[in-house]
Formats: sequence, structure tokens, C-alpha cells
Amino acid sequence: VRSDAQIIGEAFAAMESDDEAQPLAPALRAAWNGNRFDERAMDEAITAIARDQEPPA
Amino acid sequence: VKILRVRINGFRSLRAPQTIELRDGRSLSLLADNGRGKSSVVDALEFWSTGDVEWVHRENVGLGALVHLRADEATVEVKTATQVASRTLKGTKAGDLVPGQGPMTVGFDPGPIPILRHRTMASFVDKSAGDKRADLLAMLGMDGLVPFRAGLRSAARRAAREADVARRAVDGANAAWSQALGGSDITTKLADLSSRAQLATPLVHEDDLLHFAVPATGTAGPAVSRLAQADELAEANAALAATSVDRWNRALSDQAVAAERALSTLLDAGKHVLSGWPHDSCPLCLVEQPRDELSSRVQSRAAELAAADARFAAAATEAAGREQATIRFGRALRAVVDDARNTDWGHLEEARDGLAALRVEARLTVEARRERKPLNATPRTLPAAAVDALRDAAVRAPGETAPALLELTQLRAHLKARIDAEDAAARRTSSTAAIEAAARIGDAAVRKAIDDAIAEVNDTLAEFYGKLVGPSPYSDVRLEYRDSRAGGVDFAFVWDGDEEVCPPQRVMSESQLGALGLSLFLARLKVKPPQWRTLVLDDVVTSFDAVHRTRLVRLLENDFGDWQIILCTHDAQLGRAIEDETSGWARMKVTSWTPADGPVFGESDPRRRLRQRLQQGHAPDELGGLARQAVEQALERPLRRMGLRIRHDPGNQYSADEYRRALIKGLVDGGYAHAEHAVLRRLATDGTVTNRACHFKDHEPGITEADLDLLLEDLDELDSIFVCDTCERPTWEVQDRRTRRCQCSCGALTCASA
Repeated sequence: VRSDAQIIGEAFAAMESDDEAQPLAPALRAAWNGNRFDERAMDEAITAIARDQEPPA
Repeated sequence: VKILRVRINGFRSLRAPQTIELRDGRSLSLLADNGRGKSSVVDALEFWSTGDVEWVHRENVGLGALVHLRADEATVEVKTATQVASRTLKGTKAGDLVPGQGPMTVGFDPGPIPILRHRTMASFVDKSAGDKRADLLAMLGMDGLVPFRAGLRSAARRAAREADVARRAVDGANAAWSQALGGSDITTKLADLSSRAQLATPLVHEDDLLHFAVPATGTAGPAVSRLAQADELAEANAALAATSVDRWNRALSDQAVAAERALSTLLDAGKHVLSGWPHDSCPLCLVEQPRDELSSRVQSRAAELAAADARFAAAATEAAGREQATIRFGRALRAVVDDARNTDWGHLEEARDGLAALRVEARLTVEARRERKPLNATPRTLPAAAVDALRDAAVRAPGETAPALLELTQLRAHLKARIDAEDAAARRTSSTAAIEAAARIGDAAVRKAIDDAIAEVNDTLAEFYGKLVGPSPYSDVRLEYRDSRAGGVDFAFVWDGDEEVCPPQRVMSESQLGALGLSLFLARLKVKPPQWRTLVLDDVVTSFDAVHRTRLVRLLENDFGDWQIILCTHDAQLGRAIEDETSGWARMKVTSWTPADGPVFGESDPRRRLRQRLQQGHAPDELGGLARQAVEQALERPLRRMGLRIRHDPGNQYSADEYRRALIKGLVDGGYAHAEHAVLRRLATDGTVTNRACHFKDHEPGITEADLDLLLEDLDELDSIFVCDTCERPTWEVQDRRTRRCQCSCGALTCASA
């Protein structure tokens, strides 16, 4: 039986190997603190991609 | 891990120290009326094992609210086979937590004790689909996935909104571009403007326009610079008009009031202090002013002053913004007024007057910031018509090529804005696609995990639900992941053989929904057991009928025999079911209670209590009532379990002798040989002795310790005659519904053979 942390870790790994999600995946992993997402960090990463910049990871 | 002992002190309604001993980790039934401290015990266990209590957050109060209203601190100590660990917290009456929460023993963290409360089960009825899903996921032990999935979905929604804004910006830029072309196509427009601007190389394509630069010589340069001047004036004018100094002026006024009040209070305090006056009245004004009241007023005024100061500091940025905007506007206006090319501007005189007034205002703003004075609420700006007129004058500047060159620069700006907006929208679409893909992957991962967990628990869930409710029109009871149910988990089942039902509220009553929640909780523990072998049930049978209560106890006894159950209830029927269906449980009840000190927990079984009291050296004369209860209980049990009849009494008030006679008669009528047993005759004497003790008279001999010892021996013997020596099960283990005849499991102890 897998724990929540394992399931979430595997989801992040799947994002990193997905063509579309890949640019955002490291930033999303960094924005997850184990209990919740840092919304501001997520939005900054999405905006960075929208500005054609490297998202902060 | 099981609990061997719990000590609670000052926690919620338990102010006086209470100890619950659970030797060898045995199960406990805690029977108490409503409001007598059962849930406080459950909260204490939750607090001890997690450092937290869920309702505290829901009600938005501090953990300090867990401390008894008349206690300074609360302590919960739990002993297990390997550890004695405690948590302490200090709180205020307002519910704030005072730091000092003791940690668990380092390296000892068996996780939260599984607890199911009545209100958790009720939530399946009352909550929205989303909250219900979250509760169900929590029961599946997957509550950590809820914020993960919700966070990704919410980010995807925000990104989609931003992409929509970017698309609308593209529409706006396209509309402005079409308007600038004025109905021509781009090739015709560029040919016309190139010719009028007398360009050596005519512009043909959009790309030519993008790279077009105004020639540095000729009449175009000055016209462009005048237009830039007009643009800056327009922007500075708008920026100054947008400033506000409301917060600054309000903060100044607040601060002045607070300072005056603080000064006056401090003055009063000073009078007391300086005079050394030993009395409570002020020596100067001779007005009664108790010192502690004055001290509290001084503190309150100081806090008021500090708050006003903080508001003032926050408002200071507003004044600085006004100063900067005034200076910028002044500079832009001066550039226009001083430029000789603007002599044909119709608002020149007005602008000169405005500039003079602006100088004064700028000086006043600087002074106001330095000396903390109020600022003019309405800034001095130019009317929009004046700024538009300046732009028109720039465009109509002398020289044949200037207007065409200006139009080319404007057209180039529109083209660039259109291309930028399209780029931004395309990039937004790509970033939105990235977060949407991430959300889809997150969803799929959570979905799979939920499906796995559901598959794991469903068989046991159906089995336990069947055991709890018995024969019912519901079959194939299960959890399902349903997209239609807000993309979440819900219960589903087949009703009456062929009707698929979801949500269960369509046909189930509240008690049946409660049974679903209880079944899931127990099934989850069974298939994914935590480190604890203790589970806590708090008032979970409130809406169950008598049969379901008994079924629950049998389920716990049969499927959780190696677990420690802590069952809190106010329900006497459930208490009897535990007494009848289980062995080895500790049975406690509230023996006394006061609001100030809370409950006192004690043994609930009268026979065990009688033994305890005798061991503790209580005088036999004081134990008559307890002895009578023990006799009545011992006789009532076989009577009830074997379904034997007793004369009806609406108040259920039977004496020990009435129970004894009814039991003997029932046994004789049913042909049970137990009726002849000597202990039933001896119990007549025992009953008389206990009655005598209860109604003690001076001229009669009192009850002795030896009498009570003999009585206890008789009661144990009475129990033993109803238990089979072979299978060790009671006479009433199997009962024929039609004839009401009873027998033990192996059939050795029947009406015929007994």
C-alpha cells in the first residue's frame, strides 16, 4: 500500500516526463511543501513560462 | 500498541485528576449520561496522540480552549506497554494557547489513535458532496491527496482565467489596428503614407513598418518630440489625479486624538506616582480612581497610541506618492510651457497659472510630510481637453511630411502592440496547457490511488455493513469513484435486487447512513491496520435500534477480538449488549459529577464494585445497596437472555426475589434442570440478607463481611450453572425462534440435558 507522499512523488515524476507539463514540473514540485501548494510560487512559475522565462524552481 | 492507563487532569470538563486503568490493554465501555465527560476523554486521547483536536480548528478557537474553564493547565498521560508519555498545555479563558506544550517522548510516535465520533458519521448526511468526499478520503487515509489535487486544479483554473484575459487583449489590439488602418489594407496604407512622408524607400510589408525609424533630419523629428512631450504630460496628469491622501489625513487625525488621550491618562497616573499618596483617591482632583483601574487605562491608551502610530507609518507611503506625482506633473508641465513651439497651444496661460500653483502645492506637500500636516484631498491637475489640444497642436505642426511620419509611428505602435498581445496570448496558452496537463496527471494519480484503496476496502465494507444491519434490501454495498459526484467518492449499492443507487440518501435513513460510515471506518482499520490496536467509538449508535446495537457489539467481539475497543456511550441498551456479548471488557460509568470538578469514573458492574469496596475495607453496612444491585443483575441476566417471562411492571421495578421466582418458574416450565439447583434456593436467603442491610434496624443483626463473601460466591456459582462445561458457551447461545428453547453451542447444555 502506497502512502500519500509516494503517490504524490510518482505524480510529480509523471509530470516531469510529460511533454506538456514538463516545463512546469520542477517548479510545482518545489511549490509543494508536503501538505499544500504555495499558490504564489505556482502562479509565478506559470507566469514565468508565459513570459518565456525559466520558471523559478 | 494498546493503552494500559490514561490519566487526565484539567482537560475540558475533567478538572479533577482521573485515572482509567485498562489492565493488559483490555477494552472499555464508558457509560455516562449526556454532558458527563465522555467526549472529553475522547478529545484527550486525540490531543495526546496528535497534539491537536479537530473541532478546535473548525470552531476557530485556540488549543487553550481545551483547558478546563477553572484550571490553568491540562495534562493527558497515556501508558502503553513500552512508554509512559504525556502532553501538557496551558491556556487562557479566552481559549488562547500559552506556550508550554510538552512533547511526546522522543522516538515514540505511533500516530493518531483511530477515533470515530457520532458527528463524523452525521457528516455523511449533512455535508456537501465536496466535503463528504474529503471526509471519505480522510477515512480511506488519503486526506493528504485532497490539497494536492485541489491545489493543481485551482492553479489550472487561475491560469485559464489569465489566458482568457490575454485573448481579450489580442481582440483589443486587433480592433485598434483595424481602426488605425481606417478601412484600407496594409499595403495600400503603407504606400499612401510612404508617399506623403516622402520616404526614399517606400514601406511595403508589416515587417518594413516594424523596422521603420523616423528620419533624424527634416521636419518630422520635432513633431515626434512634441508628441512625446504631450504624452508625458497626459500620463503625469492622470497619475496625479489618481493619487489619494485619505489614509494619510485620517491617520493624522487618529494619532492626534490618541496622543491627547494618552497624555491625559499619563498625567493622571503621574499625579498618583509623584505624590506618593497612599490612598486610592487622586490627591489633586480628589476623585476616586483605583490604581489598578488607572494602570489598565494607561496600558490601553499606550496600545491605542502604538496602533495609531502604526497606521500613520502605513499611510506615509501615500503622502510620498502624492509628492512624487506632483513633482513629475510639474516637470512635464514646465517642459511644455517653456517650449517655444507650443505658443499656439490654446491652454498656455492656464498652464502657466497652474505651474505657479503647483510649485506652491509641491512645497506644501514636502512640508506636510515633514511636519505631519494634512494634505489637499483634491490635487491640482489639467482638464483632459487641454492635454488633447496639446496633442492636436503637435500633430498639426508645420511641414508637409510630419503628419504622415507621425501616423507611421502610431501605426507601427499599433502593429507592435498587436504582435506583442498575440505573443503573450500564445505563451499564456502554452503555460496554461502545462498546468492543465500537470492537473490531469495529478488527477489521474489521485484517481488511481483512490480506486486502489476502494478496491482494497470494498469487500470488507460490504461484509461489515451486512453484519451491522442484517437482512436488508441493500446489496453490493460499495464505495465508487464517480465523476458525476463532484469528481469524488461516494457510497453506492443495489436496492431491492436490481436498482443501482447513488447517493445513498435516496433510499437510506440516517441510521443506515451512519451504519455505512461505521462500516467504512471499521473496514479501513481491518484492511490497513495502523500501529495502534486501539480504536475509539464515541456515541456512534445514537440512531441505531436495539438489534443493530447488539450486532455492532458482536461485530466488534468477533472481528476485532484482538483489538482494544474504547466505546463511549450514554446508551444503557448498548451497555447491556456489551455485558451480554463480550468478555473481559472493563466497564466504567460516571459515579459522581459536579460542574466544577467534572466526572468521577468508577467500575460500572455492581458485583465488581462490591468486590473492590470489600477489598478497600469499606464497612459491610455501607454495601447493602450495592449487594442488592449485584443480586438483581445476576438474576435478571439469564431471565432476559433465555426469554423467560416475568410479571409486567411498567416501571421495570423488580425486586431480587421477583427475579428469582420468575427465573425458577421459567426454568421449570421450560423443562430446564437448572431450576433444581441449590444456588437458586440459597439466593432467597442472600436476597433477604441484602434487604436487611438496606433497611438496617438497630434491633436486628447487621450484614457482615462473611455474608457478603458468601453472596459473591453464590453469584459466581449462579453464572456457572448457565455455562456449558464442554463448549464453555452459555445456555442461551442458540435459541429456537419458534419454541424459544435455548441451548449452548455444542448442544450439551439444553433444556433436556441440563
